[in-house]
Amino acid sequence: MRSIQTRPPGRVFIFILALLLFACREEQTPLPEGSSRVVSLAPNITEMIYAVGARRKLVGTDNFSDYPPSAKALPKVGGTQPNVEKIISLKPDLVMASTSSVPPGLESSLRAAKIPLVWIKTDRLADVPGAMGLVGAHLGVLDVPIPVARLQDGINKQKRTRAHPPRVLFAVWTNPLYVAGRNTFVGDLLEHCGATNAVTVSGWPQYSLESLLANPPDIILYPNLSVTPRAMQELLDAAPGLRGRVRVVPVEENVFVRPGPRVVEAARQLNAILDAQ
Amino acid sequence: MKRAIAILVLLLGVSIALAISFGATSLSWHAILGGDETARTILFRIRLPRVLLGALVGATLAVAGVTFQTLLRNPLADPFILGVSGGAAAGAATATAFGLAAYRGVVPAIAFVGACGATAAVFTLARRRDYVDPTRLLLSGLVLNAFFSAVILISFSLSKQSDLTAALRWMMGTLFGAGWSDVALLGVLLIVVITALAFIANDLRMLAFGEDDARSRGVNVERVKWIGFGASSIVTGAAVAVSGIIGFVGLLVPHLIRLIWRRDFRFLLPLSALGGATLVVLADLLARVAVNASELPIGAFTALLGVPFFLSLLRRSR
Amino acid sequence: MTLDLRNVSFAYGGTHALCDITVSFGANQLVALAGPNGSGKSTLLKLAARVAHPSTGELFFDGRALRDWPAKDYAKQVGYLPQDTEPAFPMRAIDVVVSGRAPFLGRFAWEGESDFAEARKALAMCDATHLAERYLDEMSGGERKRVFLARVLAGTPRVILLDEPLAALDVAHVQQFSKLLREIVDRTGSTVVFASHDLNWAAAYSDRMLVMRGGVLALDAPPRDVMRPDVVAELFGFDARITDGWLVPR
Repeated sequence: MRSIQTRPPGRVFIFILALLLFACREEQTPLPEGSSRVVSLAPNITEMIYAVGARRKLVGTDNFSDYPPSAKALPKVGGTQPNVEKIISLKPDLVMASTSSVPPGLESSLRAAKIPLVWIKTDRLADVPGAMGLVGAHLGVLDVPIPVARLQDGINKQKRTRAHPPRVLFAVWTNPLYVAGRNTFVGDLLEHCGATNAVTVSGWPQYSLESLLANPPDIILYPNLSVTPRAMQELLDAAPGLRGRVRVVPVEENVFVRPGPRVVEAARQLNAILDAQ
Repeated sequence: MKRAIAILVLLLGVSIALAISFGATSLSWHAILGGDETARTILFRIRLPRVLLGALVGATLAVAGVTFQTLLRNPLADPFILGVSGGAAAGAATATAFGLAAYRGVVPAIAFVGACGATAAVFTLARRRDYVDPTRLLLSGLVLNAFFSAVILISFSLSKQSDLTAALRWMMGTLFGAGWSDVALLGVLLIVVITALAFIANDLRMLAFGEDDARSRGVNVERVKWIGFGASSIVTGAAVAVSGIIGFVGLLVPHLIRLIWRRDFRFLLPLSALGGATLVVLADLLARVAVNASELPIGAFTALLGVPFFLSLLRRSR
Repeated sequence: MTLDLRNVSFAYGGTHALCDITVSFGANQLVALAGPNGSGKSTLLKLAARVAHPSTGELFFDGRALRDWPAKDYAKQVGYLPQDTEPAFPMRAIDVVVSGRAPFLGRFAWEGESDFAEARKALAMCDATHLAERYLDEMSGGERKRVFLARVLAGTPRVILLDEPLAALDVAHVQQFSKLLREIVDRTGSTVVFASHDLNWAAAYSDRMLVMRGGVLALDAPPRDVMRPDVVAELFGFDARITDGWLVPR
């Protein structure tokens, strides 16, 4: 199902949509209307649950969910390979997982345990508000259009058009070099804030050093947890001529790489970096 | 033999010329000769060292392959299949995962230790009295490779950067980021190793008839084995430290050369080096240009070629 | 030419393969090492070929101790054919045979015309000239054995040691090969020592038989003195009679 942009007011609209979604679903397990015990398997989903005000329904999360700080205290069910037994032991009536980190075998195991599973898709920037709306709908949050609208508004406010758009490269890994291409969440973020993505291909390709040198960016951004400053220096060593011409900036990984409510913060930080160019 | 070398040198020359001419960016000679800084940097600092390193890695793996095959009297031996590449990668990956890449030369040294450890393990596991059991040889290689893959994955899971992309880089092989210092390191080592192997080439080829037989002909079998295994392990360790595991080169190349020229180790040594260099240069060219602006792992190509070949060899042998 | 073993013993692990062997070989002899499996025949040949070293005692060639002989020089004097020799990779017969010239080559040398000439001579002596260009895996067991014998002969050794050369041959080839060994001794004047667990073939053409039993040299005599029912019964517990010179079970 395509993601939906919500417009205030539309709570009836939301419920009809939610019902339609239930109807379109292939799942045999019927979804309760407005779950009361939910397990989140992705940190961005966790943040969305908090943002729509449904934190009390959250009974367990994956290992990476650490924001807001109180989420750290919630029971954990595993990392990239969640432990189904742990999930079941928390007696949820709904599990939410992200399509971008699909653990194999999850769907069938949960079906066998008769626990409904909802996939949340946030591949693009535009997916995020709708996804949050979907999360809220599943949790029976009546006034979900309000936080969704606030999020959309925040995103809109960060939109920029720049006279001389800086060329930006977002490096996810350095050896070999993997980058955020067009038509990805990070790519959308760059364009939203008025930058040009130095990478012209789509997806998350391994990028050639030659292309890096031939189409040099003005700024290289890298996630501060996965990539060390040392690794970035080694990349610059391998691509001579870039040093001095390119600005290398680490960004807060958990804000930039999580398509969730903090995307506004990511955009704000990005705009600050771009404004200083 | 002179004719064979001439043919292969020509083939290698053409491959290198092709590989230099194509890449993720198209360069014009006009721009390079005209002094375009970027074009020059791309050609001389990125593409050329990478192509040359590819040639060296290919030569290395083929030489190690033909040496292992002769020493172990088994046509299926190659540094990847035996687990020697795996051992080197496990050593190098672990060293990198725990931050030792900061110190020059540590990673290749630990890769060499890993390669030697794997060679010793192969020998211990597969040896029966005075000959090497071919089935046990392949089995032990299989098991060792599984073990080393696990070591690589666990190292990266435990290290501060728990990212499996790093593990994949070691296990699939890539020439990304090749620099002139890598070329120098591997180049010097390869020259030393080929010289050492040329020294014992006459004796080494006698080992193909069996150790007792070779001993009776005045071959110092122990010394030949030490030099042969030692040289092959060192040079495999260096190649893997620089490029990760690129499999099947040591299997494919000596066999193709043998198919055409049917000669003993003395001939196969230089011919395999040239053939291996050509194979990897061409495979890396494919890896660099197959997808626009992006790269594919070179180990995947050699595996695609190597596995069907390996299976057909397996069917034909005994 | 003399090859002497003086008080030679060989043990590995806890097994004593050879106990206190003293025996001498002169030129121009066809000597058969007879005895059951495990009696020490292979070990004796290996020690003489310098493939292994004695635990106690010493071997001498032309009066000089084996360990004083440089390895390649000794290899030019003494040739050895182990029981199983099979090159790991497919090879043509001529290439296999010419590799027998290895002790004569320098470190970086290739085989030259003279080496190929010797190789062809050796093939001719083994009646295998027609096999020269064929690959080993296309040959029968008998043909392969002859090629390997030619390989040993190509080194023009003065002593040729063969470990169970007749073992894998079928009946037609066994006689052919045995006669070939006789011819080699008669034509070149070298000494051939071969191990055989088949008493009859050991005795058929030999000048001398060394009977091994339990690592000990039990008897050193011409064949006619060995191939007698009473001797055979005493040595092997084998009840037989001689018919036309052949031992036949009673």
